[in-house]
Amino acid sequence: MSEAYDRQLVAEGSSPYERVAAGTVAIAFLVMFGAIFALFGRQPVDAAFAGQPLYRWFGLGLLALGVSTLGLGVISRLEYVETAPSRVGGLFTGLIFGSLWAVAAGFAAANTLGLGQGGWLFVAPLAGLTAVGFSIVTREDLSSTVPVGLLLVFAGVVVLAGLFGPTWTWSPPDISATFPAGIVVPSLSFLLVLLGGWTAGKAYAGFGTRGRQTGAYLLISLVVVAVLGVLVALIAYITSKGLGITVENLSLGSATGLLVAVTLLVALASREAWTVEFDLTSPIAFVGAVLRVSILTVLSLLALLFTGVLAAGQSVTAGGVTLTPSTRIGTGFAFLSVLLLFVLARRQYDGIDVLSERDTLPENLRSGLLIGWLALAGVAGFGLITGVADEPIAFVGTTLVSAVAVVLAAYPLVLLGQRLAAGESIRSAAVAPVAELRLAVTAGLGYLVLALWITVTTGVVAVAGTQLGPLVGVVALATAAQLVALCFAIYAVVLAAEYVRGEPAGETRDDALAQAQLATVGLTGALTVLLAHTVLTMNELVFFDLVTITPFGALDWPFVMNVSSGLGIQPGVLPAIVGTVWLVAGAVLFAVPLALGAAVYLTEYAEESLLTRIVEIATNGLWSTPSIVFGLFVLAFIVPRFGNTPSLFAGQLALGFMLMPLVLITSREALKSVPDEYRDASAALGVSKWETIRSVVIPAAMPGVITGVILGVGRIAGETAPILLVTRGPNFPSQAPRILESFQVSTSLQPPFVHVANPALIERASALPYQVYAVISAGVGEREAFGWGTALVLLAVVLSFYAIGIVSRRYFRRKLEQ
Amino acid sequence: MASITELPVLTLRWLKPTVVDETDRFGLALITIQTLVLVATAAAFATQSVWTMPLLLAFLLVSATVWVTRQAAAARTLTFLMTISTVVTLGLIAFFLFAEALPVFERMGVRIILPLEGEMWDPNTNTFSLVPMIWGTAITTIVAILVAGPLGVAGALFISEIAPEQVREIVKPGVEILAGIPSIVYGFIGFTIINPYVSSELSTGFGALLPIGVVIGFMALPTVVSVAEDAISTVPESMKSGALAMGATDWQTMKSVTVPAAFSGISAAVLLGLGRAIGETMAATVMIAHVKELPQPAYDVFDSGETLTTLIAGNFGPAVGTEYLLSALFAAGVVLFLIVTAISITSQYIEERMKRKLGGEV
Repeated sequence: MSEAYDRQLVAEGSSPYERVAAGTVAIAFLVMFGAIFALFGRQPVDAAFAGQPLYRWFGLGLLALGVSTLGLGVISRLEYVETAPSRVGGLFTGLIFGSLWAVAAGFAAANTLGLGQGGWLFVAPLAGLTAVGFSIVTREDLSSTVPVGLLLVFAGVVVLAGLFGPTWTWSPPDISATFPAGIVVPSLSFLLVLLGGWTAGKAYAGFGTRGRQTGAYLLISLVVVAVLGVLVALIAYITSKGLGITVENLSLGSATGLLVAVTLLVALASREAWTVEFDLTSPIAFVGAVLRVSILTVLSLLALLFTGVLAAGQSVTAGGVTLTPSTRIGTGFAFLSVLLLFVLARRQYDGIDVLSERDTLPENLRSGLLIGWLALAGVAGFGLITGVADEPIAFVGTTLVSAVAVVLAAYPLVLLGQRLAAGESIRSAAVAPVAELRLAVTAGLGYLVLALWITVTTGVVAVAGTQLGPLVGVVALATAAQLVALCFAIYAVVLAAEYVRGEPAGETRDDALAQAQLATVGLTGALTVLLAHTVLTMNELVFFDLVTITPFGALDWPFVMNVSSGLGIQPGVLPAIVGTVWLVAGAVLFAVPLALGAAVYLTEYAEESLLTRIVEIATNGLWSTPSIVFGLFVLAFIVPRFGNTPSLFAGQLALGFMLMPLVLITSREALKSVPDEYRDASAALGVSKWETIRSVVIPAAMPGVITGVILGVGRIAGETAPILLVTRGPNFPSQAPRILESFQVSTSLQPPFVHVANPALIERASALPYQVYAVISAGVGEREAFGWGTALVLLAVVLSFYAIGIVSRRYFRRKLEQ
Repeated sequence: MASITELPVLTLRWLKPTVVDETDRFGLALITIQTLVLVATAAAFATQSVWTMPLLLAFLLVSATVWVTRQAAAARTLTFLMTISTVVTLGLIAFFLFAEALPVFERMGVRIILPLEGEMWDPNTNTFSLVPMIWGTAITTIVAILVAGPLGVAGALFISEIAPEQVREIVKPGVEILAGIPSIVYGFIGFTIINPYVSSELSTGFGALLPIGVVIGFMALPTVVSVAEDAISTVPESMKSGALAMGATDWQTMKSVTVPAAFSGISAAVLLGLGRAIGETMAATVMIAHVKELPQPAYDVFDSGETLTTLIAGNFGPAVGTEYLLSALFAAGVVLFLIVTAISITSQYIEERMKRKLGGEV
């Protein structure tokens, strides 16, 4: 974009001439809309519209436009207005109008006047040449308006005269299509009116170079708006046709809905751009602000709705969707919501830089916090994943949890003890490790609560007959330590407050804020681990006899959770969704390391040589290769070597081969965009080349690589052709692929010595795009709604990948530019 | 004559700057073993030998050893191997396509791309000619490029030159999202909406080629827009500023300076869009009538037919297990592959020339 953008020195109000020109453009748009409406609505040419047959309206529009265009040109030529036309008209426009006049005259002469071929041979070239000559000879304002205007008037008169009646058709010779008036009139009007609008746009800016610029910009903008309009119309249409069947019989527990809505509300409202800072400087920013406010409003209304349903205790049904007053919360939803809150709390805590120099959190304590969480989630999770059945492991897990709590609680006390032993007064000894005490109280309490809760919920109260046993001692010790630490912490905070008295009050407030933030982190983190436990063990958790966290029963979504065929069930697309998930996972696992490695070599190690040229040519060739050729390749190369049958594995490889060039190209871009300064600085510090690549370049390029992978995944998730050739499952599968449960490892004394197999991978499977194709190849028919639903789900999956990729790219670009 | 002990060194020297120090015998040995095991694994896989799995495990073991002991060298070797895998993949594709298509090539010879008397595609007599499919591809592609070319270039001009910053923030992702709509979704809409509309309003048969061409053009549009937009934004700012300094309007600059300067890039964009249109499969497969004959007369765009891609996708079911029919589908794949690769190489050549001409200033 050229820098000199705003070149208008004086902005005046528009003159009557300009208003007429603008009005002409508006009429042109109106007629174009009308033409689209008539075409898509399949309106016959004499359909009644506001009392008149449709063709009359088109005729009127054409006539009005023609008169208006002529008027604009004549007025300009007669110099009643100040315009700046060129001395002669352009050859380009002349040729366009010439050919139009030739065609129009030819049709008129051949068909209407009955001159047949003679009309085409003589009249058409004559008319065309006259138009071109006119353009070349007269001034631009006449030459660009008169041919178009006259043509519009001519067309308008012809249409108004009813020449294109309901029975009129045009069958070109040798073409197997017959064009009725209902198609011809709107299309012709669209085309002519487009030209008229273009000319009026030129007139608006006073002809000349400015006028041609305005006209060209008008046309180009129209093209872009039309393309984007088709995109929006496509998505809207598919949504409207598919939404009904997708949400049919969807049943959601209101407690789950409430939790999710409130979490999203909190997450979004805590971002400043959403509630506090409103950027209203430009139209786009204004639209963005309106969008954000409306999303927040919708979420609030949903939260209210869910609360209402829960309070009333009655189910609510609308449009196929049922909201039940169930207080059962789905495990997955609960876990994800709390995880989101934990991440938010953690980030906010990181972002607060209120700890002054004398009160900094020791690094080892912070690491201890993180290690503690990992240990808790890992060990406890591993120990508890076996559930109550394997009590010794669960016992070990909970004991470790309690031990961590004790350590965290005891550490500051140990510090305190050291200081006291060194002879400091209680007062100063209590103030020094204030931060540790705060952390101990918050984190330690959190761990303790968690340990107790896990103990209770897993029922590990009795182990091999003994009641709690040593666990009682651990718990008691931890509680005692907590109480002591709590006392010291309160004392320390009071003392600290005394110290800061006299200093700006903000510090104490900020300290308290930091404390609250830390507590939030602890609480949400504890809940996250608790819910992770329920996810892993598939147990139920009951809170105060009111709310139940349960793996099943909160959400019933037939279209997404049912198989495609079976007795008495509502057909769903679960096999297709699972198939797509596995196909994409396999493709990513295969292609991304390969492509990333190749990109690293090409950017970091290789010099410009024949090899890199060949690799570039090969990569671009692979990028352009049609998807069906990949399917044929895998059919010829992979399928015979893996069971000689269509399989999920072959589909994964086919999609992986397709993904590889995409990721390679984007990774190369990402690696190249890492500034050389990074590498130079690293080399200056004496770091070896591979170490630099591993720890500096690749992490810096990661955002770009991830964005590329996301966009690539969006592309291959929608591919049908390779799946059609090498995976081709049943049209309406009655079960989803079970990959995780089917791994088999065996050893033998003969080659192959170790045999790893997964029969489920060598089976046929379906995928979302293939499911849509299956509906079509089964003849659509009464399954049309099912097809629309599947298409909508596929579109939603693919577009969400693209949306995430685009948003992440924008986010990383903004971070880079800061 | 080099002795056998110097062979690893020479091989590695050929692999360009030293992967490991020449005095590091252990590292050299490891890398040589790693490469040899990999080659053996590939050979075993290609010949479907039972030794594939053990050799693969051996490769993983050796790689792990090298990684632990000589990580930098391991990284370099592995990434190099991954790089040549792209070339190897392309080579394998070409090889296997040709290998599978060989039976029908031997049977039909050069007649496979020549029009035949009588039935051009007859599985019963194993007579196959690809002419109707090539013609169908040609018609749909021409229509597609007539749609995608002008609209694509207009869109690219809009995004890079005309639009203000914030409109560009909306339009550019919009075009990318347009590229993301899967082709089977277009196909579903074509099958349920467009085909019935065209056949009832215009009284044609099922699956007219013109609407298919328009749909394919719309799908190839985002490719043209993004590549052309890249090309136009590569034109140096100094050229545009110079024109503006001479008193030209933005449009005149675009028309007479920017677009001619970026013309190679724009033509590369159109070529890539052409390649994309040629390779478009699913939308055409569900919309077309799979009539394996030339339209009568040949330029009748409202008649139906078959394209190379729809031939493969549509006829795959009945072709499984046959000898010549399946081979004929692979032959269509070969023709497709050759055309698209030629287009890709041409467009890369054009882009390279343009980069050299403009000196790469952004």
